[in-house]
Amino acid sequence: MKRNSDDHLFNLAFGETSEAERAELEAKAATDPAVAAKLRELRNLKADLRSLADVPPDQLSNDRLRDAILGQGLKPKQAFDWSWVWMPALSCVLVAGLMMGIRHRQSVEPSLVGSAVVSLQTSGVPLFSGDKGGDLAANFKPSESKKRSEVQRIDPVSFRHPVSRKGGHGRSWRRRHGLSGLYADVNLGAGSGIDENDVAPGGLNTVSLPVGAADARISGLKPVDNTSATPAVVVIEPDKDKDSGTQQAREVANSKNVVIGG
Amino acid sequence: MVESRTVRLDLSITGRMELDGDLTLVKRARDGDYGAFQVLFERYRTLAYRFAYQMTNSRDDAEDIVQEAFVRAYQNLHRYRDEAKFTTWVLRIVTNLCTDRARSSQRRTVLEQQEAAGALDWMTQGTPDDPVGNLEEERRRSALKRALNALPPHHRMMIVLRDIEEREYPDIAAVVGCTVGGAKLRVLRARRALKDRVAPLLGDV
Repeated sequence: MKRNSDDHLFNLAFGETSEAERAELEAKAATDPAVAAKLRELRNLKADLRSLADVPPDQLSNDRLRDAILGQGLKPKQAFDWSWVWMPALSCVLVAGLMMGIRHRQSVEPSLVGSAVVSLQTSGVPLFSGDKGGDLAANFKPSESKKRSEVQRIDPVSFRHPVSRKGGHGRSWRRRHGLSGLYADVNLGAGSGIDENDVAPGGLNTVSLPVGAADARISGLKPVDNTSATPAVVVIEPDKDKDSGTQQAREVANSKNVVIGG
Repeated sequence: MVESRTVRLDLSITGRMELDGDLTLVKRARDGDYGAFQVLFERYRTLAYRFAYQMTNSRDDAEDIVQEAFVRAYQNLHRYRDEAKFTTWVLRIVTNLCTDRARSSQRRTVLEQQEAAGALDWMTQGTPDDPVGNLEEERRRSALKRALNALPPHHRMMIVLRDIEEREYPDIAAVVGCTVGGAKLRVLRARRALKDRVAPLLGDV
């Protein structure tokens, strides 16, 4: 309690009290000589301390400091220099990005853009003897990327990138035959209405259809009549109508001039 | 009321301009412009010297400390954070140097204090009834100085910063590295310690 009171007196003497507290303490000091004496003492202490503020003049000089700093060859230290780090770091990032891009490109699933339901028919394929024919439907949803698992569920059509094909024709072969790009593999096996006996010797039971570029829009492709003599397998590419400018499919090749399974 | 507000505003603007000026000079100095650092030295050397002198009570020591402080400041300009005042930063360096010196020369200080005490005894014993009015004042000052020098550095620092150099509590807090409340508490403790030491010297029991 006494210490608390002393602290208040210190604060009063050194001018660090509020107005209300000051008035209260001064009133107390007016009635109590001991408090008044202590307050006077502390005020003298403050005044004496202020009198110590006078100091002899210094003899510091710029020359002296310069000698101390520049004479010793001192320089301001630089903050840690990151400039040498960013170049290798950037190189690493670029290389990593490139690698990832290549890997992604190799494993990327085709992104199909289509606006029509394509119905392909296998009837009349000349390579297969005793072809019974059958409708193969591939539904292309516009602007929707499909994962491999989803795509594979679409039976009997699956999609793949030519470079991922194993044991078949390579990219160079397809490029030679103008068949580069994405392909829809039409499974002619189970579920397609074709028996095992219908499959040509060599075990090939798949025909590949180039889907074209990412913007392959298959529009205006009408279902083929079973009875017509139009080849069942056609290779199409997106094209624009010269007059109207609308997208349409152009036939690039068909089963007559494409060797299937060759 | 309005006047005091205006004055406070003006002070804050002046302080801001000063801060900006220091900042510019520091940046220039960082870029190798020694002239900019010289300006900073000219601007704040007295402040640093006064503080160092009060801490060491020796002009030579104070000058050495100030010079060393500015050398260190120059070498470590990259560590100066722009949000702090340059004065606070320099005072902090000076404070550390003073504390280091006080620790290393504890014994020497004690001897000097004993010598000073002897001289003071001789002076005060020889002239107890001196009619010259300022002699009492001188006696008080000398006693106070002795008491102040005898204080531990952390107490002395608070007395010097607050009661001699009259710095604001936020500045003190920044120099010492504590909160404003902590700075107030430290100052109060230092004052108590000083009073306890100076009272016997002045004959106030």
